[in-house]
Amino acid sequence: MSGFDPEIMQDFITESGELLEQVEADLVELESRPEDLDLLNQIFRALHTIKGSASFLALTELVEIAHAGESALNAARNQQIVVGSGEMDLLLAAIDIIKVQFDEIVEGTGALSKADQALIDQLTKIGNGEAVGGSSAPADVPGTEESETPARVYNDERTVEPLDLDPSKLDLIDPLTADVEESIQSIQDKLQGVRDAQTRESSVNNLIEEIEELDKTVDFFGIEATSALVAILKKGVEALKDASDETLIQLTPRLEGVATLIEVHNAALRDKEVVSWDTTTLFAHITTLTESGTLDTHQLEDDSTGVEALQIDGIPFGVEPDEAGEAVATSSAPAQGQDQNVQKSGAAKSQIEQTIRVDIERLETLMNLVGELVLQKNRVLGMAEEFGKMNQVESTLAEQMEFTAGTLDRVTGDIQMAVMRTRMQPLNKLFGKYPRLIRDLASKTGKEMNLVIEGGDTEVDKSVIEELGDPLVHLLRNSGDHGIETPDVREANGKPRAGTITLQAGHEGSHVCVRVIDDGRGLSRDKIGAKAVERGLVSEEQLEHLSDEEVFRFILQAGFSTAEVVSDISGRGVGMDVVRTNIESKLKGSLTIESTEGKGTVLTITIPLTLAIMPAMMVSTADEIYAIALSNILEIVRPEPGEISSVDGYPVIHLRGAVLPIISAQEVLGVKNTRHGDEDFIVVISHAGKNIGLRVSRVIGQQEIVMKPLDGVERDGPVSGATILNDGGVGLIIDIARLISITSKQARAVQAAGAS
Amino acid sequence: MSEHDSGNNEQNAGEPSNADQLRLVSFNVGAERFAVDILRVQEINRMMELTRVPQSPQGVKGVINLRGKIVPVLDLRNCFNMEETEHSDESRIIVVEVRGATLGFIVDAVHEVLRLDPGMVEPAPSVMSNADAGYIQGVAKVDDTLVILLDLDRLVGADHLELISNMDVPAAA
Repeated sequence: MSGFDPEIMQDFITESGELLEQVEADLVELESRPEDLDLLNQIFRALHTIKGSASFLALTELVEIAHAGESALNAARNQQIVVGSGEMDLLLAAIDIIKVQFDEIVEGTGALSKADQALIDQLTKIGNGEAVGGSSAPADVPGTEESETPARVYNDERTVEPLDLDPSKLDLIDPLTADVEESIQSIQDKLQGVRDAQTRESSVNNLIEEIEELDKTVDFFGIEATSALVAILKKGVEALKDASDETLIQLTPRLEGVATLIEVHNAALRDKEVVSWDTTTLFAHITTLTESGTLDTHQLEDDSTGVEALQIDGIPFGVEPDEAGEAVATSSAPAQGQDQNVQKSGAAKSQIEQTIRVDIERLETLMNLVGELVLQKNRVLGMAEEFGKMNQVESTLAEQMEFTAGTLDRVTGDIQMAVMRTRMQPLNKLFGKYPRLIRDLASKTGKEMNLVIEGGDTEVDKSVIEELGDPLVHLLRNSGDHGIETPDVREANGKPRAGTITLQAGHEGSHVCVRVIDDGRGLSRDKIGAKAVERGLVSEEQLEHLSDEEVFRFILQAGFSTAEVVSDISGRGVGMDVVRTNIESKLKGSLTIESTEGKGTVLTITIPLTLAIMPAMMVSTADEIYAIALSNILEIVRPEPGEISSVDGYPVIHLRGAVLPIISAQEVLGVKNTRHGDEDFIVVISHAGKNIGLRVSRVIGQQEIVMKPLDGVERDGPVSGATILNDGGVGLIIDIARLISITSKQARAVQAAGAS
Repeated sequence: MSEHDSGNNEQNAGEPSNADQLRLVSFNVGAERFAVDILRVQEINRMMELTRVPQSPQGVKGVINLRGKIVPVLDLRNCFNMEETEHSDESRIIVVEVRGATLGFIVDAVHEVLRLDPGMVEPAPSVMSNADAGYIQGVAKVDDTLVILLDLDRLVGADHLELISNMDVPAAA
């Protein structure tokens, strides 16, 4: 496919892959506000960048389709067309092809698949200003456009006209504009050098050389406005040689501004357009400065930038369409706008990178090492404690030991947090894919629906992002397919025709909650209950005692579906149980369901921030040690004998008026050498809205534990993993979800008895 | 704490020492002598404290911490339907790899590394010992003692190793 360094390829895939995801999400967003020029520009820019990198890597097939898409977007940008659903379908189809090509690059399968010529043609047609399904007139012949398309004026007062160039010269646009770009970058660099008195003279000499080269190249196109810019640049630079400091301050930024303008001219040229501004004031000021050296008005600050200079001289630059996204900010904070311009122009000014890409494997290694460190720290803490208890150790030594252990504890905690943070990513990485999903779903089902995303900047561990993707897709599909009604039904029920699905994320304590909320038909207790009875999951009688939430939870059973119509999207009854399993076993989280019939459904996924290390309470039962995730513990009580009674033969504890079922850890864990007499403590645990009390012998204390897999030996037991104890032994982690489900019968009986 | 027995008590059972020779770790469970391919053995440890896992598959005695890795340990007495006894000073945990998973076996005592000529190994008689013959690769006679060669892959039935998916326990059950 290409002889490029795999590393460069990898960089391309990572960077362009992210851009592509962004483009896709933005496109769907664009559909709802097709007039949003900022958004259009953002999409255009991203696609343009992808195309640029691809062309550098000689991925011609990719460049071809990206270019077609880009030209369609450009037409929209220039308000020749409005992006409707037809155009959107084509654009998304183009994105899909690029995605396939990306996969092919990753797999290294050789030649990339080529986009359907029809698609390219259609996009190109749009690019020529034809709406989809519009007149089938042949595309305009390049070069004749000028007479038909009037010159357009932008909000930054630029004028854009189609390029009128001898066809024989058209082929040379690409290489020549590339040359210009290079010269401009080098000129901008050297203008920086002029500001420094030490390098001034050599910089000016180099600049003059460079500008002469540029002059020749620009001359080729015969565009007056550009040539004039080069001429004034040359004039200005020549004057810099003997300029006073004051003149220098006034002149240099203006020349930088001129260079930036040339760059924009050049960029437009690549798209076969001619851009121009009213530069009268700017030119007049530069001329004045080169001749007399002083300006009465329009003074610049000491360290003004090119863009500021342009703005002061009547060119509201920084509002150029390519940067329109940032333009809003520019007007109020010009310095910031300038920064972005610098980045955009790619000028190699000393822009220090704020982020680096790190191989995920290195982070994994670091994470594992931190895990080991936490284990060893725990052991040291344990030893320090033992040390303190020994009589023969000198007390100051024991104190020092304790102090050091405490410091170690704190530092380890900080390291752990810092390493964890390196792995955190915003949920938007995931959420960004869903507008497309909902859009496709809407067109497939013929329903109208919107996706609202809230809290996408919530950060979670990378592994959480990976595991959360599938469950969320399922839930969103379910909401769209089953939850949201058809527009007619909705209207009849007094709801807006378009359903709304809200994807909401946020921190709640040490957990992250992700909610999928729809305003659809909601769940029907009766329907689900009937189905559950039919499937023998529950008896009619039992059903009556169940809470709504408990009834709704039946939809999480394998093979359970109340959908009347099984669609190819969802409804086969596979899915919800997979969702639950993924959330509970892989994410160590929980899924809760709230729903009001006719109003909608809220599905809440609660997951820990990270999966590798968790704070836990260590308890012992008889002579065995277990860990319980701290997040599941509500409180730990030491009941008085009178506080424990029994309901329906099941033991319960009365806790501040509430009746909680309690179970013995020895029993539920099958401890062999039982010692029932010493179960003095009750750990009140909570999961998915249910609380129970677990009787244990001793509460050892809180500890950060590193979760290790048990590789299958746990079978159906109420343990979810293991951890290494302070003494090097193995302690098991109690699986709260399973424990609660084991005891659900008991809980229900207690609840029923309590209710009656 | 780990005691690598390789090479120390080697004993030349067969005469020629060619490349085809089988090298086996031999050990005792109950009164009987068994052997497994030495290449399958990762290490041999003294008895360690085992952590019992509730509702674990039959034969799994518990898990140990093998330098940070949690390793399930099976009692071979249990696998052979022998009566379980207290572990002694001689008891060892042989750590092996079976189908990609690391496992420990409790044996009553570990003996020398045997070098056998493949020709010395005979197929297992259909009825022998009080163990099921399925996992017996063959038998060999070494110094008047019968040594049973174990097929680890068969011995560890799929049920010991299978990664158990979180099965649904119906809420109403």
